Amino acid sequence: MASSLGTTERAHSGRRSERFALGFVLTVAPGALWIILFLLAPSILVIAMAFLSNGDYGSPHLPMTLDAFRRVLGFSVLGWSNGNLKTLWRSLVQSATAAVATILVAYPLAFFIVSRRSYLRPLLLLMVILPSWTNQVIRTYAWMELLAPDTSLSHLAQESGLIAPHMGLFPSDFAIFLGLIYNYLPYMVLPLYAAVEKLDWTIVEVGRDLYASGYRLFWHTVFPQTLPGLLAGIILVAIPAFGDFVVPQLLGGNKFLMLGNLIANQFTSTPDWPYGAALALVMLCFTFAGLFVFRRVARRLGRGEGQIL
Amino acid sequence: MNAIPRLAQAIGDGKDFAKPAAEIHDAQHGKVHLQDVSKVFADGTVAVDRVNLEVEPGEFFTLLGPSGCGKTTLLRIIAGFEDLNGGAIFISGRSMLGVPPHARNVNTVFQSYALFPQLNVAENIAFGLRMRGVKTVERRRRCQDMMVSMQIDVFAKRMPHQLSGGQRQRVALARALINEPEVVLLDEPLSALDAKLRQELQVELLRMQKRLGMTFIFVTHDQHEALVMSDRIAVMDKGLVRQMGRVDDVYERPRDVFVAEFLGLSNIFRVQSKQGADVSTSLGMLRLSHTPETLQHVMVRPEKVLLSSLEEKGRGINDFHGLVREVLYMGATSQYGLEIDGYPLVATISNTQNGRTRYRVGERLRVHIEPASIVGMGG
Ligand SMILES: Nc1ncnc2c1ncn2[C@@H]1O[C@H](COP(=O)(O)OP(=O)(O)O)[C@@H](O)[C@H]1O
Ligand SMILES: [Mg+2]
Repeated sequence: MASSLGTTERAHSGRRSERFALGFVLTVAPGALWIILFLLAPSILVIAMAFLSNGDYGSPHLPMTLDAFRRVLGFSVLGWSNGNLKTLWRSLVQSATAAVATILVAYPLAFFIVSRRSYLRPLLLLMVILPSWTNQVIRTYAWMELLAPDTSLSHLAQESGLIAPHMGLFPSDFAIFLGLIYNYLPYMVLPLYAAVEKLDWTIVEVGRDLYASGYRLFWHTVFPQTLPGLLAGIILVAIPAFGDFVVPQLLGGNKFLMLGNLIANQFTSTPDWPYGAALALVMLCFTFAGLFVFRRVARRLGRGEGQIL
Repeated sequence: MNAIPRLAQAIGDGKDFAKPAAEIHDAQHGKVHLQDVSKVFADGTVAVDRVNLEVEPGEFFTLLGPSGCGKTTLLRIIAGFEDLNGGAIFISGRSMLGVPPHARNVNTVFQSYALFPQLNVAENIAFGLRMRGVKTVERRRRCQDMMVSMQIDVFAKRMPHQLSGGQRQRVALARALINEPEVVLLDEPLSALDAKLRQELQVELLRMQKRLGMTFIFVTHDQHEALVMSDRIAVMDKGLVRQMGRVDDVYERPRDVFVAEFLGLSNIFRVQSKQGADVSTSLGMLRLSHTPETLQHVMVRPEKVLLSSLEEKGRGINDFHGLVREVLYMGATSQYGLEIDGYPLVATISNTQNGRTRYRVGERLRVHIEPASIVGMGG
């Protein structure tokens, strides 16, 4: 009796583990396949390519060399130049500008939307998100049209003495700034809105009860609660803005090279795949380094929740 | 018997009951006076209806009432979170009209604790002092003292989410008390805790209150808690204060059926007619030692009902024959469900005889109620 019970049990558990294995494969395989095909494989390709030499038409060739990285650092047959360093710096500044500018707009906007009647909120959010459903290039061209010389906006700026006569608002740094805010605003508004909507107002009352008022009340009770949304927004905005070249190229009048353009050029107009791959790797490293620093900061600031990111 | 000396014995620390802090200050310090205070919400809910209260300095005052009767709203009005629709508030003799919460020397312990999640225990407790600009050295010292007296100093560096419910409650309490406010407001601070922890904290809370000599206004819907803790209570219903007074007075002499039923167990009978001190009820004729002007109901507390065997001699008045329908053994006491001429009556008897209940289900016995034990009530 006892032994037969044992065998059935074992058979049962055997069947169960088989079923478990099947379930494991079925649930994990699609995700794993995706990661292998679209993340790991391309990454390995790019890494490998960066160590190859440049062929006649920009296509990679053996032998292996560190030449591409040397050029990334600014060394070429003409000696050392700080061009790449400047490009990197401009991209970093652009990334930070986009993050700060969208925060300045999105923070009050999130509070405004949350304070509306509940049926209006999804509508207002939709209005923020809607533009991002169209192509970035098309949107940016639209801004070029709006800000070009001899448009009403430009005339207005001329008359109020903001810009010289016969100039347009585009191309300019201001146009880039506007384009960045316009492009990245939804990615800052959404996480911030989520944070503001679930804000615990009792905490704010506790602050008032414990003698805090004005900006100190905000800083100690509201700000910490919106921090997770803020950090998520910064990541969503800063990383793509780091590599963005559509906005500076179109709205800045093609005056400045961004890291994004530099990489794109190596695969298009002046092909040099190994150099492009090496640049892409450098960019990736900077992104990861940024994320790492950011995570440390977030952990310090958000120790209440354990871990924000 | 008042709750305070009873607890003093339980705690066994008499000197904690001195009130140095309260005596130094003037007579008004810590006094709360509400005059015809009303609050109507935007949707028309009358949450507080012309409430008059006078809470004395150093008093443990309890607002007791069912959920939704306006206790929290009244507390929020005192703290300054709600505007008034009528009436006036004075704290320590000063009008609080237009004074925002951060400018009131009042601290609240919220029902949900609401600790700052990004600050550790010590930082949470020191928050009020920090906002008031108390220097770091003194802040540290006072915070440490407070944590030691609340037995939470070992958690000083922990974050709120790493604490149990009871520990969080201690931190929330310490965070309010460290500011030495004129009045401490507590909104059902113990209701989320399990029974044992709750009892521990009740004792501790009372000890702190007596030691610090601060005025406490305590909100609860738990009648036991109200009985144990309070010097005086106000029983609320639908935004109105039904009765206010010393806790034992309110218990012994409830003004109406609502108060009698909300505070403790009671036997209530409708008065059919009245001749002098004798009233006719469903139970039969009852003699009262005192009859108020408006008399609609009479009430007797279960522990005031006297039981004896049928062999014993009756006393002539307020004597009935009863049948035991039900016995609930409750440890120190037993609760008897009796039937008198088809009408139910509850009696509570202390189990003094070696823990045995004295009467069994189905047994007939003699029921006596002293005239002085019967309370005549209005509505
Ligand atoms: N902000 C509000 N708006 C509208 N009605 C409210 C609001 N707050 C409380 N009320 C209502 O006021 C009444 C009293 O509420 P409350 O003071 O919270 O009662 P309690 O604390 O005694 O349970 C309830 O009927 C409640 O629904
Ligand atoms: Mg309440």
